[in-house]
Amino acid sequence: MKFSELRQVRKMTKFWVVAKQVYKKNVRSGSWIFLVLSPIIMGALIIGISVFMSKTMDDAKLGVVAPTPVISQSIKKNSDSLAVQRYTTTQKAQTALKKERVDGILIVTATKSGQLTAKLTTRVGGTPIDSSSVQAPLSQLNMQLAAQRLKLTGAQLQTLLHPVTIKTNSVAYRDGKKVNRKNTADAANRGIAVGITILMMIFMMVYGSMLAQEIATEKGSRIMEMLLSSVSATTQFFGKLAGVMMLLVTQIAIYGVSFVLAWSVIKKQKMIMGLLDQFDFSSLGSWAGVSIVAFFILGVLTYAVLAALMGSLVANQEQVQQAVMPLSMLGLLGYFGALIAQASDNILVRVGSYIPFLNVSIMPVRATMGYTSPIEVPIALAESLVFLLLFTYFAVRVYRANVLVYREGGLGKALRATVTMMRAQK
Amino acid sequence: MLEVQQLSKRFGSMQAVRDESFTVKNGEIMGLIGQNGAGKTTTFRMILNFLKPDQGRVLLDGHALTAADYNSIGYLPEERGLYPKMKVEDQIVYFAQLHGMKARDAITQLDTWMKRFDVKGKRTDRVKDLSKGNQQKVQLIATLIHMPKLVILDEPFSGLDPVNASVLEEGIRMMRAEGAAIIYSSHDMGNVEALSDHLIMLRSGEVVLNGTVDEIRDSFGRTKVYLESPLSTATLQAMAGVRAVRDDGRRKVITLDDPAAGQAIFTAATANGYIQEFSQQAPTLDEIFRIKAGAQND
Repeated sequence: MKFSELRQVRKMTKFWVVAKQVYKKNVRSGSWIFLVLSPIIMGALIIGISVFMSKTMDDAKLGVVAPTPVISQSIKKNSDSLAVQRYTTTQKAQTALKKERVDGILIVTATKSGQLTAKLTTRVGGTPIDSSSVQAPLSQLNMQLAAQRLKLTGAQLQTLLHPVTIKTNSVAYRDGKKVNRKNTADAANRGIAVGITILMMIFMMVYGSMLAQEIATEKGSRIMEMLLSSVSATTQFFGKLAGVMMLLVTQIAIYGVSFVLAWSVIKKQKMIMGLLDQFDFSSLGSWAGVSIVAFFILGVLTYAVLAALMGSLVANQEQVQQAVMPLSMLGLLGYFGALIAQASDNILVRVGSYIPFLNVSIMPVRATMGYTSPIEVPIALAESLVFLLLFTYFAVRVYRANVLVYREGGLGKALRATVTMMRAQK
Repeated sequence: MLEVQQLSKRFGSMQAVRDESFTVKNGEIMGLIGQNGAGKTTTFRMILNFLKPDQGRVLLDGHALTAADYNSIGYLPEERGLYPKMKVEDQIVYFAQLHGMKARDAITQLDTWMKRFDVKGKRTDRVKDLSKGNQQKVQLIATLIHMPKLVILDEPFSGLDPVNASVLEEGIRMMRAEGAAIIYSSHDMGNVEALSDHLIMLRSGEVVLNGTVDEIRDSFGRTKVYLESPLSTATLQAMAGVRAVRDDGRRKVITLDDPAAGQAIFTAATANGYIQEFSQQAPTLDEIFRIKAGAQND
């Protein structure tokens, strides 16, 4: 092995020592564990409640008194949330109702003309019975009886009952040109967009402030100089960034595994599945999905780099909050931009979706809402990537100059001192 | 071996260091003294390449510092800091790893080091639960555990009581015995005099003293006489070559313009035979420090 290679190896080793240290320290910290577990606990709670409710909600029991067994069988077949019990006489059915053996009774009689009429009596305090769940099968029977009397064939009946089909389609216009959109409800897309926005903000702010805190603490407690005598500021910078990214990946992996484990339970829950059905996740498929993931990664990295930069400006630990402030401000600005983007695609939003720091929140929302032309997303992605690279280059330089500058009295002064330092280092 | 050659550094309008040169050989302890703001920390930072000198260069074993060299450097900064919530062991292992040491080796050697520096506390204790002095020792262990070839200690004695200061002195001597080149700064001239093989004094970024303790003291001449005799202050004052006489109770401290004047004082003092004390010495390091530091205000 050549000497230069050996040096490279050593650098890599130190990079990993730093990354692992950041990872190990935080992965055991209460705040990170709380951050990771709280959504899981929330999710588990929702699933739990849903399972509990479906377990404890017994099917409603309905006593049926009807001239023929066909009627009760038909009702049974039509509704799987009803347990149907046939009684031969009205009196017997009423006794069952009185003794709370059934939640309601349905008395079906046929008029002289052959029409069916029914009377539904439900018990207050019993499991509710939806009258429509008995009305539909009775109407159908009535219709069949009428058809028989009128001597209609099955085909004729079909023709009579054939409903009008309505195809729904929503369109969006951009620069006067029609943009094709999938047949989805805006509200559902908005839901996905809200989810993306919130997730982005949480991850960017949480991991950003974690990194800022990490560096600010080291600088504030003067550990930095000792670190610098063993590992270069640049290696340290990227090691820390990697450590925080490893935490992020761990968190996402934990969610992935939890989701897979929970899926076997979730897919049996009608309530949750019903909710999920309303969303058109196809807008996340293929391209859009990939671009959202890309924006997410770029966003988290950009904020992390900013955080490292801000963290390196502090002189003592009391200034840590001050250092995180611009991070929160930008994060919130992006968040509001994303909220506005969900409502309308105005000029502000369009411009915002190209401004560094804001674009990572706004552009994915615009893409999800279908406001973007196919070329916009790749352009914004490329722009974010270039910005990230330049910004990182700048941040590393500032970081290197910063870590040895201690100026009390605010970050503004610290920044000026940094500039002096960077000049002196030239 | 550390060679500092003609270093200069300016921050804006302030000349922090000017044309500074010295050499620290392996197995040698170099003391760096000077008032606050004299350029000691800037010198250390330039040696460590944290700061780029405007002029001059720093050589370690004949070559400029490379990334690999950092593994054989131990640096204790003036401002002390450790991770407060981290355990002593984890902390030291982390720094050791950053200096290219294997975690396993650091763990094995930790007990020896904690004993050597008499750290009161367990390796599993959190740093914030240790006393300030013990935290300082932990940081010192983190600086030295990888047995660096070049040791740089910025004010290592500040905040240590006399007992712990001598523990530290022992540690520094041990590193010298291992062949390390050691450079440290201090305000305590007692430590400096006892410990340093070689001495540098900086004033406003310039080297004003450079040599062994004895060389430096002798260069000022034996101009101090400590005397216990029947001679009165007035008599002494009247003698040729005497600049000042201070009455320290039984003892008189005489400052001479010319060391040769000592002879006459000795003769006069012993005219009637036995006296308790006559000692003609060079000024102490403390006095030299004051003389040199004061000179800038002239």
